[in-house]
Amino acid sequence: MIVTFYSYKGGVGRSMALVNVGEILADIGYDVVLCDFDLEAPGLEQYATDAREDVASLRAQRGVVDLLEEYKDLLADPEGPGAEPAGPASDFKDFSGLPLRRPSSYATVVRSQNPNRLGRLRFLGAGARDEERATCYSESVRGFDWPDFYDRWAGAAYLDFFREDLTTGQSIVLVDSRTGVTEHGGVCTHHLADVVILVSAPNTLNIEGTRWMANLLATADLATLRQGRPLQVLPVAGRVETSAEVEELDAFRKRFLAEFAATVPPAAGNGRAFVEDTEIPYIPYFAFTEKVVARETNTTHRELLSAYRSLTQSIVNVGLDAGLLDPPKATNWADEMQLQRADQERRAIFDRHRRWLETGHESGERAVLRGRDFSRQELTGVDLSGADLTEANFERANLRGARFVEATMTGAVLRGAQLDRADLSAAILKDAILTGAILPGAKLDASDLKRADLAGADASGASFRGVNLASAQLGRANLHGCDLTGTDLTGARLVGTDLGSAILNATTGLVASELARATVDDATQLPGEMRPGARRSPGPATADPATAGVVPVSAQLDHPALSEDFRFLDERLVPQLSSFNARVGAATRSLRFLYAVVIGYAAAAVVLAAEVDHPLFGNRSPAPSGLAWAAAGVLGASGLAIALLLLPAYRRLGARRAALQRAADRLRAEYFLFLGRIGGYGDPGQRQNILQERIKTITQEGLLP
Amino acid sequence: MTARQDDFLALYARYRVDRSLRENDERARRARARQAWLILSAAVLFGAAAAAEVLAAAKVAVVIGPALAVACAVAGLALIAGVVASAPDGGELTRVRDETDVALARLIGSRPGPDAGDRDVADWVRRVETVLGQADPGPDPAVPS
Repeated sequence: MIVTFYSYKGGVGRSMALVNVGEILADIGYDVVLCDFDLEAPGLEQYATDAREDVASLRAQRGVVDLLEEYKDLLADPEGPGAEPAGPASDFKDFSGLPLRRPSSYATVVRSQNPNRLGRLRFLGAGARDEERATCYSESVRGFDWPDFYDRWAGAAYLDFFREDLTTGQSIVLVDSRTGVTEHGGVCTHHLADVVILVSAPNTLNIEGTRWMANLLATADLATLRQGRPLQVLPVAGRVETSAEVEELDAFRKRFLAEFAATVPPAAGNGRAFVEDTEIPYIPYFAFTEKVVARETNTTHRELLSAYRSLTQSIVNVGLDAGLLDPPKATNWADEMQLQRADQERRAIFDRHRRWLETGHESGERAVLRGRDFSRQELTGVDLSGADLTEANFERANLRGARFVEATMTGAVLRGAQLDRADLSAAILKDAILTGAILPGAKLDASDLKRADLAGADASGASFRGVNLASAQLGRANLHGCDLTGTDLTGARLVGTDLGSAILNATTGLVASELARATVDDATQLPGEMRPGARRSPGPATADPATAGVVPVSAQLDHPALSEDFRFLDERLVPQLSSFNARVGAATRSLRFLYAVVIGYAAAAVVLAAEVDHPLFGNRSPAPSGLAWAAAGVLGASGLAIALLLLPAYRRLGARRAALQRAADRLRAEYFLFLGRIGGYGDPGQRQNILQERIKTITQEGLLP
Repeated sequence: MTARQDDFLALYARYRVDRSLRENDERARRARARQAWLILSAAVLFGAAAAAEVLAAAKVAVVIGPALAVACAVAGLALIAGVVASAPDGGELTRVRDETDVALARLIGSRPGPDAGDRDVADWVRRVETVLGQADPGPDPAVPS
């Protein structure tokens, strides 16, 4: 079986992948030949062994170019000196009556440091390139005419001989092909290969080049030329930087899957799984030297080794399926791979849940996290399916898109938690507290919410199909547009619940008196025996930033990234701000009272003066002129006295209110200044210290008489 | 710019800048109303007094009836109330409001971009707070270690 490793561009980790796969195959019992067919840029020997002296030795060994030259020499002069076999007879084979050197005779066994290796690794270089023969090698490569070789030298027949000889005894030959579009690259991919590994780096040029090659290898003409010999293609993403640029990485993965998942042969398993499992991560440690992770014992780069192992397993599976290979000598190979896969999955889970699993108990997929506190945590997209989360605290945690499928969450606290688009299907949420939780678009199908408290929760558009809501508190919950088909609502409280546009078909336990306390609209689908109530749905409520506090709770939930800061501010600053706002309100009321006193007295004086001067009420005669003037004088003097007395008080109170208002405004500004100083200090605690100092200063200044 | 900073800026614009602008508008509207009240009251009071002077000079017999007396008294009180209530200068407040709005609009237009660091965001917030005149710029943050 010949496996050709091809990449459209260089530097994608092709040779590295080849050698790692070779090491693993040899370890599990296969006879592996690493063949350097990258004739113009040879150097696979650097990867084939760690020992420097062995590298020099392998470089001096004859290889592909020497074989081709010897073959041509033999054909050119069958009677010449080259026709005489030089070496053991076993190194030669009859080829149309000529003693032709077997390519395998130039394949040198590479020493292994693995004492448990069940197979062997051999190396067939590009050609002898030690100091003496380097020039000769270059000239041979430059002067080699592949079309001429095929047309005039029966090149196709020789390469068939080459292939058959190297694969004798079910050896696996791993061919390192030339990149791009070259003649001998085509020999490797089109002629020699049974399987082509297309390694692509995560950029457009590589993807398009790989796509182009995949298309070429799938043409009907090639199948004819190969006389029906099957050719499988395995696309592998290489040199993938997984630790940064999340969006770009995600886009690349999606594109790679879309482009190549369908080209993966069935024997290699599911296309998506193959592409994901064999993605070779970029690890800088391996970028500087030719270190081979498969040779390292107890490597810490398990994800890299895992990718190579997955690729190896797929190659073996394809070979077994095509009848080109026997099962590996390592009988526990499949078990090992399965264990490795399980380990990989556990590690993936661990990485996802690292935050708490590092300090807690971890038992694979079914994490036991009873009573753990995840309040205000950033847990977007977390997968806790099947986990035991009994009485866990998720208060105000961000759980958008999280998965809790079949999780046990009895008595869990999800107050104010952000659960939009979360999947809680078949979860056990008995007695759970979901007051004020945000669940738009969440999926709770077949979950158990018996006696759960969903008061004030926003679950618009959520799916509650077949849910047990018996004795649940749904008061003021927003269930606008929810699908409640088949739910059990026995004893559920529906005071002020918004059931506008909700689907309540086939529900059980719903009574008319309780339904009448909820709001429904014409679009609400009720069970057959129910009739829509008279109350209209107000629709989803929206927060009004103008009337809310400094930042409404809804905004804080919208921006959970700042939740820690919000908590600090809630505890330290907001009480002071509320206090100042209350003082400003009190001062304003006092001012209004004084204003009302002045205006009221003035109005009363005017009416009294008019009454004295010219009676408005009753039929008595006007007061004598002297008395009228006296009354006017008294009223004027008292008015003036009141004005003189109250005006300074009014001004003082006005100034006081302005000072309080200024302090409140400064505190409000500090609220945002604190948030805006994120990262502005080397020591994050300094930010909090500064805020506390400033609150103290502002409070003292604001309260000065 | 991190998602955290982006969150913060959205929040800040919504609850700090927008709110301040709304409050500015409200204060300026009240100031204009007080100004109009003051002018109207003064015109009525002094207009009536001037008319009375003219009539007296013309030797026309003037009888201050209760209606006129009440009207004059009300106008006088209104003038006093207006003076008290309009302690801040409405025109000045409006001008400051306009300047603030222009400065804020300019600052909103120069919000930290995608390449901004934490320090840029903090500086930008401080500039906005300075424009709003409601917070001291405070000490310069120490250079992050």
